[in-house]
Amino acid sequence: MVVVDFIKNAIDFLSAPQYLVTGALVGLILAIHWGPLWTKKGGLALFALVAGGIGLSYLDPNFNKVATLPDNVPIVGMIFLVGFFFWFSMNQAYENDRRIAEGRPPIEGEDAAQKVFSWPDLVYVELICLVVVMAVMIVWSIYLKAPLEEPANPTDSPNPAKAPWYFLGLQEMLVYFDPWLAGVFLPSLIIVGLMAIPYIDTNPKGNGYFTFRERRWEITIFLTGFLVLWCVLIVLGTFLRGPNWNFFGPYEFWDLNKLVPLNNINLSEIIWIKVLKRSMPNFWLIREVFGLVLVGFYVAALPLVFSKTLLRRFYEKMDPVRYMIGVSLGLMMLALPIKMYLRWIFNLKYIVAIPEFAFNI
Amino acid sequence: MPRKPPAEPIDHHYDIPRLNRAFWWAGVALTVAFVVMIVADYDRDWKTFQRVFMRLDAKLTRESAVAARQKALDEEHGRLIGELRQARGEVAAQKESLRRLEAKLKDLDPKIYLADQQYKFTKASFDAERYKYEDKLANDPRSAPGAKKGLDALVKELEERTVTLATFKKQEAAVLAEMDGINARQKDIETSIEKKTAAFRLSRSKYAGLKQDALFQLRNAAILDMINPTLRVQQVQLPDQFINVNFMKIPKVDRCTTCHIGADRKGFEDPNIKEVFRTHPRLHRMVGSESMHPATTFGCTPCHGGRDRATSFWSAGHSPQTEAQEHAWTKKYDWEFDKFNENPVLPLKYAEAGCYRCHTAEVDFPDAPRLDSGMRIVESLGCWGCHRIDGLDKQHLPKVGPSLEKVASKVSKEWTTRWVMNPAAFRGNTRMPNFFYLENFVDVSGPNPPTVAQKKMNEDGRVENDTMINAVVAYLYDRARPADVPAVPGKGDAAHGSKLLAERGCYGCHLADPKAQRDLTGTYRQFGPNLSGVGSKASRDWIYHWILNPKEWNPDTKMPNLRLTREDALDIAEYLATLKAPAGFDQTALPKTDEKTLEQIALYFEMSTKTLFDAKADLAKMDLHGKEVYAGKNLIAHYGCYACHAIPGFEDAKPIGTELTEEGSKAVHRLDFGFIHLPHTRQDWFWTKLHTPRVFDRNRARGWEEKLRMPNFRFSDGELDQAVTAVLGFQQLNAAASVVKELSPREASVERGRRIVKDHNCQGCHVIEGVGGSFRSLVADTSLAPPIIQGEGAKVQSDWLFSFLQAPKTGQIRPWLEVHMPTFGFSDQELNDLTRYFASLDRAEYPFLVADYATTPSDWAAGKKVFELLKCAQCHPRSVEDMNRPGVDRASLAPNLQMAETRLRHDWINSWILRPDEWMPGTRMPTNFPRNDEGHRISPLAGIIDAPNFAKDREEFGKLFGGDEAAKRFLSNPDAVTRALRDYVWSLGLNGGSAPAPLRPAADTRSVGGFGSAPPPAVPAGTR
Repeated sequence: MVVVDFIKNAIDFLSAPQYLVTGALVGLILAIHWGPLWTKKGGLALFALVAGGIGLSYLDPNFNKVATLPDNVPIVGMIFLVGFFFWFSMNQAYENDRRIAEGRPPIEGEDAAQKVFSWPDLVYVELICLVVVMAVMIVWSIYLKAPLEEPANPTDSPNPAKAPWYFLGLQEMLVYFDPWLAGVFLPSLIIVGLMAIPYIDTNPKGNGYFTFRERRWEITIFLTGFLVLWCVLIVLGTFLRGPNWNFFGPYEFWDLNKLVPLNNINLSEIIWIKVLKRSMPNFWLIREVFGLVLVGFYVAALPLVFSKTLLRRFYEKMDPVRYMIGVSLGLMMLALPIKMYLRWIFNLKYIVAIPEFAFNI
Repeated sequence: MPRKPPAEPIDHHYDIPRLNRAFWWAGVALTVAFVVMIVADYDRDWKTFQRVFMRLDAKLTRESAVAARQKALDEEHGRLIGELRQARGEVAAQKESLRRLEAKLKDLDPKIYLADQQYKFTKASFDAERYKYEDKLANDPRSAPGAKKGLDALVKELEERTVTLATFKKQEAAVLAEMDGINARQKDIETSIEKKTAAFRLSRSKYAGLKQDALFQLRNAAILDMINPTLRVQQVQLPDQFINVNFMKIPKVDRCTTCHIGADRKGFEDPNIKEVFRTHPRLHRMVGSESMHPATTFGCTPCHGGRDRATSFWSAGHSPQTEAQEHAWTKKYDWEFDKFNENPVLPLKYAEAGCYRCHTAEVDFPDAPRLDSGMRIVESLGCWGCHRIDGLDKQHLPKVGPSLEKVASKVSKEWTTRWVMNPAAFRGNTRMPNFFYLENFVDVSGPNPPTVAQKKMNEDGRVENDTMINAVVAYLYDRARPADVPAVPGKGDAAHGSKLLAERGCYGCHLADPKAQRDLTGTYRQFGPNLSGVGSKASRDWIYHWILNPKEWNPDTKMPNLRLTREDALDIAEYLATLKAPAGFDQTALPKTDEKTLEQIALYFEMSTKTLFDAKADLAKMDLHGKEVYAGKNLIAHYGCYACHAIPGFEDAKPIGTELTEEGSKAVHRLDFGFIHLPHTRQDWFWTKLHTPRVFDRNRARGWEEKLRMPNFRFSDGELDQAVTAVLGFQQLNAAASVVKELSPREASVERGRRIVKDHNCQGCHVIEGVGGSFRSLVADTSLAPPIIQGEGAKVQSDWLFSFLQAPKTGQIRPWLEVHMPTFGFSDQELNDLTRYFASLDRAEYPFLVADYATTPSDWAAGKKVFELLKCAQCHPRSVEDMNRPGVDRASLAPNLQMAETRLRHDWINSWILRPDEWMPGTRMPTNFPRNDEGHRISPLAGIIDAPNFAKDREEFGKLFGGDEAAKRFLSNPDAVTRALRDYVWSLGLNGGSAPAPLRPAADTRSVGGFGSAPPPAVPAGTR
């Protein structure tokens, strides 16, 4: 029992957002470079680890309570589905990389010259999938009732008030960003960015077949965005955010009374009070000048700096417009983990805080 | 550039037969899922309930049909059948003439048809022609005469047609009448048979409709049931009852009767019937279409709570009453706690809570006993003093505790200290709660063994409480206005005092029982404090001055003045001074003030208005006593002592507690459960809060100033259920104003009166509206007990009642009583409200009356004669002398009739003489005019007068009425006799029982009870 409690406490501790996100980032980079994981054996081991871990966790009453809620069950499913397809694509990619290194075409290239009719080879399979999915969904909806609640009452909102599962990543961003950024600007940018990908990334490699070695950067960036900044945040929002949007470890009781200090300060306070030891200027422009300069530098100057240094290779390969858009989007994506770490390390609330216009960054 | 031809397609990428198999199995799976879906959708609990109910209904209907058949097919039915057969035979004998008549009818029929048609056609032409003529008159007068000719011709034709039609109809009527004459008897018999068997035929056809036959199965089969099923969701729309989701009100739609089918029907009351089908237990009040709360307007969930639109056991939000029931439901119905349901059904034992939200303006709830008791507890324990409750706020209740303005002259500082430490140690049934040494100060860990830190907290808590008590008492004694208690010389007779205490009615409000348990709802005798131990509390002299005139001591006290003589008061005080506190109370160790703790407490309060340095400087100026008084004042504010007691310095203080006006609708998540694991329901929280108010501080590490403050009232389990019912009842209205109980002026004055009755504990001595009179059980002979107040409004004149309640005089009505109606010192407003209350209760006129005393000398004389004949004077004195005549058994006397004229309502007197048993069941007034078999009152005098020993009386009556027959007529008419009696009785007060002037004009009426009415007859002081 002591050992089990120790493990549970350790997991609770390590599930805190700062460790979870760091672990996911580091783990992802390490994992995609570690070949043995993407073999069948590695996959089975990974599956056994995750399934065993989650399965055993159901024995814990607090975990059980949260994970068996009808609206949380799909997220458990999502872990396995996303995990499987991630493993499958990486498995294929490694296989193809090996074949390409040997001078052979990728698996998908074997019969690329052959054609089949869309009926029955495509449509029939789709039809069967459709029928199976329908049957599963019907049975699911019969035996796991929709968790309907009372008519919405604006003065009596549920606690925690959670967005639909697919928006929980966005909701998690609200912890770190002002609502207009986390709720309006960044989501719009995600959509725009996803639409822009085909126009920015015109590299034909990897078209129609899985590969890792040929698209190392692109895949890393995509997986960071999709797996860490989206799926992991959904899992975090679903299982680890309890009453008052406080963090709760997976084996922790969701206690309404839990209090967490929120002693965050703005960049202007750090600079004026702590560093310069002077009172804060009254005029917002002077007060926030450091933050504004910093943000300006990040948004406007950094792509230019990178074009000469870190990302010169890309700059040379792409035309300037494509480079600027691509790098700007990438920086925006990076802004989330950056802001997270600033919060965790410096208790930084906002880089630019202008409550006069309800404008915060 | 020519296109490259596509590569030859290979056969297939997939193995098609395998895909076919996969498709087949997928199809099977989908079909199965589809069927499961249909079944799951079709299989609803409520359908089963309705099926079972139909079977039950069918069974009961069959039983009643059988019973009705037995009743219908009795001997008389057989006789009727025989007669019918005979009548039919008679009709058959006249077959020939009937046939002839029928042939006539057949012949007439086409003629009538044609005549009728021709008449209608002519009428139509006539209408058209008339229009034509009118048009010509208006627009072309010259050609009008021509049009007139055509019209005239039609008028003539119409007349002819009318005559023709009428002639044929007359012939037809004649034939029909002839036929009826032949058939009449048969038809009569048939009608009476039909009438006799109507009930039977009705239940038989109802039974036929309740059969679950093939058609029933077909109509209710899956999918087909979309057309016109018999099993269907029953619902009632309630546009006036809302679900409030703030900024929006959703009308309720109650579907409860989908399963509770019998709720609004008579005939399902049998306790053996399953609960779900049973008739509502109070159909005449609730649900029933003729009750004041018909289901069509009030539904079910507005009162009971629960999810209105639900049609399954769980989703409706049924709440178990006990854990055992919870387990049973979990097993039987898959019941589980529904955390989303903000408004679950009230557990049955709290069901009466649903009444209050509409009935907040009322004082008593006789039809909801548990709520009534709960409200009594809330009122008498003073919950409303700390917690604003809108409904009670409007009724302006007096503070429940005694005034502490002169506490120093009544009780010693030591006694007060010990009392505050634990009131129950002095007096087991007191209403004063415990404020100190409660769990959040001295037992912070609850049942778990305390940690070292918690042990320290417990010790600190005890010291804090010790210090607080001393501080509070120090303030009270510092501010208590000094009042002299002059020494009373001499010594009273304690034994006589004890007797007086029992006789005068003190026990109507007080107990003197050291072992008494608190009972705020079952008896009215715990209204005032228990007198046990009062001798250890107050001095003999203080008690003497107090009982002599309580209002002089404290103008706001509810204690009335019993108009004691000085000697009697001294005797009673002497006796009360001998009642000592329970052993050990006076030896309880007094708490010690801890200076450091006191300093901290005082500093905390100083800091609320000052900075740290100013506060410290302020404190430094105070000595120990000064700090105690300062801290005491603030602690009184902190704990809200002034909510119940008048305390100098807190005259305008605001209540400290949470407002409870809508507590019963409060969202459960807004109730702080702390670290206590309870079912998250309102009732569980309220129950626990009232049971151990500070338990939610358990395991919390908080300073004294952050700890919960509600005191412990030491509720019994019964009291808890009642109090929780009341608190659950404080709900948001969520209904249109039209459904709320609106008091009529009469009802409003009744409620105002009830408030006064409740606040002055009138029911401690009197039975009013059928309840109360606790004191009466202490009096062996109920005729010597305080009277039952019934029909008082119809009985006495309002201004008499006004002056009586204002200043009752000892021995005024029943001088033989030992128990005295005390002087309450009512205000004019209260007196008016009270007199109006009694009048309103009996729907009597208020306040002015006309008494038509227009009697004739002969009537008056007859009344006097009857008065003597019935020996009324045997019990009723007619004057003060009558009462004091030697040898009169006072205990068996009835009220002095000399007072009737000023006290009683004129038309009440005869009504009372006629039917005393109806006015006041159990009265000692004999019923002289019994009812006969038909329920009419009769006068037995007419019979008695014939007896030989009444010959002389008979003669006198004959003289009075100018003849034996007229006298008989008078004596056999109970109304006339009682009217005459009344006139005689009235004259006793009016003019000492003299005959009226012979020719008194009938119009001479005088207002009775108005200004200038005769003063009540003087009763010499000291008679009793």
